[in-house]
Amino acid sequence: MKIMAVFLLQHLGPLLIWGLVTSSVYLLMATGLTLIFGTLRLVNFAHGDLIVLSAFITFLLTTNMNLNPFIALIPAMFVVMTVGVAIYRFGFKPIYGISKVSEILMTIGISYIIENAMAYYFLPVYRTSVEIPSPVGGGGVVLPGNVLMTYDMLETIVVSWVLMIILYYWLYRTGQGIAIRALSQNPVGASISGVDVGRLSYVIFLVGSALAAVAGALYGILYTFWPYNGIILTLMAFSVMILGGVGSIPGTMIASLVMGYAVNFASYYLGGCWGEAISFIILALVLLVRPSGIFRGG
Amino acid sequence: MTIAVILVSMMIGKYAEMIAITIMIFYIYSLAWSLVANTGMISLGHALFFALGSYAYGIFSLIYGINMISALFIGPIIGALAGLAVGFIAGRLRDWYIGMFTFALTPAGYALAVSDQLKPWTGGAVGFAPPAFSLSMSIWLPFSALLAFATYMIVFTIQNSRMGFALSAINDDEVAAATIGINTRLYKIIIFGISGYLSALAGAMFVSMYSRYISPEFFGYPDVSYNLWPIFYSIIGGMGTPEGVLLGTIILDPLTELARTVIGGPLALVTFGVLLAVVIIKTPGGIYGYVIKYFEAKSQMR
Amino acid sequence: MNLLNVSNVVKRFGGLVALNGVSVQVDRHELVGIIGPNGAGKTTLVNVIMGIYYPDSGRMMFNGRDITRMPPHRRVKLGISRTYQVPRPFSNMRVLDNVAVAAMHGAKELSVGEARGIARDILERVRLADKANLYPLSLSVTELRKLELARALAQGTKLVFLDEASAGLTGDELREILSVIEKIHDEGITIVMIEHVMKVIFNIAEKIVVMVNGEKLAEGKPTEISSDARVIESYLGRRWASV
Ligand SMILES: Nc1ncnc2c1ncn2[C@@H]1O[C@H](COP(=O)(O)OP(=O)(O)OP(=O)(O)O)[C@@H](O)[C@H]1O
Ligand SMILES: [Mg+2]
Repeated sequence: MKIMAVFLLQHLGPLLIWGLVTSSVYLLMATGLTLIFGTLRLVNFAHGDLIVLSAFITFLLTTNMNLNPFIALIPAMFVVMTVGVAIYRFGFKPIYGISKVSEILMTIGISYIIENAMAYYFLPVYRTSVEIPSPVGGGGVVLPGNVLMTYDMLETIVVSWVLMIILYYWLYRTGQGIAIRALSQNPVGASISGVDVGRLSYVIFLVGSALAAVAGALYGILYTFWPYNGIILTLMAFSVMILGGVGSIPGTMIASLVMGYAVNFASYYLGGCWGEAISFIILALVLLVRPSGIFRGG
Repeated sequence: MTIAVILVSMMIGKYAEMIAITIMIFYIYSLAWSLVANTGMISLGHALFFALGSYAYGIFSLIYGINMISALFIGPIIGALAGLAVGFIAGRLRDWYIGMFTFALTPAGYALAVSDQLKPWTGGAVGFAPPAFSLSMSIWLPFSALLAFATYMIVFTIQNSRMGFALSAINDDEVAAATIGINTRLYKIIIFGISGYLSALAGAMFVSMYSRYISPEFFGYPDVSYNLWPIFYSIIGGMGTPEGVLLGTIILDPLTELARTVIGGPLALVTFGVLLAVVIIKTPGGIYGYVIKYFEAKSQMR
Repeated sequence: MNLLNVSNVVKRFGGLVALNGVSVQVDRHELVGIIGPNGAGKTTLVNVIMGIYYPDSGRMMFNGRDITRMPPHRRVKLGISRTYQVPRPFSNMRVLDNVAVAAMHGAKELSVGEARGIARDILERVRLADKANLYPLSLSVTELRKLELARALAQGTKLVFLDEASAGLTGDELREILSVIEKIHDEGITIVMIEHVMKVIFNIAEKIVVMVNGEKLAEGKPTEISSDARVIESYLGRRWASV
């Protein structure tokens, strides 16, 4: 009984908090991806690389120019959004709708370009979380049960979920958001009824990249990263997206919680590398049970 | 044929010979990838099979003491089994979902290879050195050329069989293929199994004849390169035709080696990514498609 | 016993009920026509019988076997084939191989050589032999329809669904295709022709099924159907009928 209590206090508490933090980061990572896939039927495999790019720019500006990470996030966001739009304009647009095969090959090629460009420019070394200083000057609170929650963890949770509320408002209450939802439900119908699909595609890529940028800065503040981190972040975002149902914001919220906790528990009890394995297992299971089968719909 | 290869290998020296061996290995790997791609499934995780082949070869020969030549052919059976399993899931999925699923395979494979649980066999993050073929023997280039030729014959035979017609139909229009009586799911699983075996064979050859070391990066993680070489060679060379793949491998593989050793570093790799993107947009037929068009235009002018 | 027995099949697409409890029987060696206006559910019925979608409810028996939830390729092996209303050729294969691949994987499993032989015969019959070595991309719409027909016939099945196989054909071409279909029928193949235009079907069909709005409106001999008030009403409009 006493051992149980000690276990609960020492392990479960931090795991619960970290699960929530991780979920919040996944949520930000996956919404950008699911927004793009849900509307334009494009999976941006470079999404994780955009996140890492944002982390690196934030890192660069905070160390070289002594900026607060939240201030550094603004130029980082600008760069990432530019790259995101460039991916769409020069990568996808020339081949959009012509062949799925080309699109899939293109996206992996783009990811490869960005990853190696980052490895060249930022060097292929790990940047630990302490290299980006805390935007709120560090510190934290001790929750009941002796669990430490730093302000950085708290701000990650808050930023992520508040952004979700704003995004939800945008998608469900504004004209542009409604047009985007129309596009996701019926691309042909939307374009017939006067939605400017071309312009909206840019908006979608801009918003998706902006979300990636925010995710990147928060990720860099909390975790260790290096130029080749993109793959695993993209993979996590896939798993959350597929589990939550493509294009669904509420689904993504629930899925990110499931995934955040699953990854934390798996890496704690089975070993670090199992966090990645568990996200793959979840992805594979979902695809196995509810595949977007070829003889259904479409 | 064999005699010519031996003569050439004597003339061009060891370094060139090693590069020629990697051409054979990556030709097999790229053909294996193309088999699946030509069935309409773009795999972004073939390094899983490649790495499984190398690990299986290493573990069989080092830990279980199976002789090297046997291990070279038995080891890839693990790749075939993995291929069947992957095909079982991928066969039910469509385009992007196949891409995402296969993309996820390689971090998962990597995670397993470095896990504490499997470390006694895999050597964890460090990897291990398996028994390798002696470099002083000049037989390995002709041997690998023979295997490459055998792979080509396998692909050729498949393409001209009932199965080849079925695969081609599936690639074109899966629903129509099913409604003319093709068991699309079964064929997709089988082709993944064959491709898994051949990719794993390439992986086993790679460690036994070239790298002499097995490391978890063969899973194409964290650097995706091992996943992407067959894609680069097949697509830039000209997917769909064994000739195009051969062209791509012969031209690009030495460049890859050069990029790794001489120019060095990620910037050279960026070039490969850019080249892929340009080919996809400008000449989807790849170099081979371009060559064919050129000769057709020329013959029409006469 | 009927060759094909479709009973009470329901198929919904979201809120839309494309088939609302449709029952159809086809006898051995029969030539059945299914007619109905746009969106009546004719193509959906073929898709459900072929296994592209499974029905939400209802049952389908073919030759005494329950095929309700059987994958498409197994239905072909049992002996059902179809053409597509909007042609779906394999664009990477030559015309000959388009037909050959269907023969190869049809009711019988044939070798590549045997299948090509059959494909040549059939292309001859539908008068497409001169295009055998072209790619589908260079065929006209009517030629693509003939290719669809050739592919379905090459499968050597007992029952063939022709989804508007004659649409867009006129004059000699129409007569030609119809004579091919009749000949195939005389050889003992059961045929279900789906048509938009009644005229085509009335001369050759032994039984006609009329579909409207996902339901079977009427069924009977051509002569019965052409005098059925409900059919006239649905085809010519309510006002006309009531006059
Ligand atoms: N895959 C699908 N998804 C959603 N709705 C569909 C699908 N297939 C058919 N429908 C709808 O079902 C209804 C019946 O369509 P169907 O194609 O079966 O009609 P039809 O009788 O063949 O018409 P036509 O004479 O135009 O060929 C239509 O309203 C159509 O829009
Ligand atoms: Mg129709």
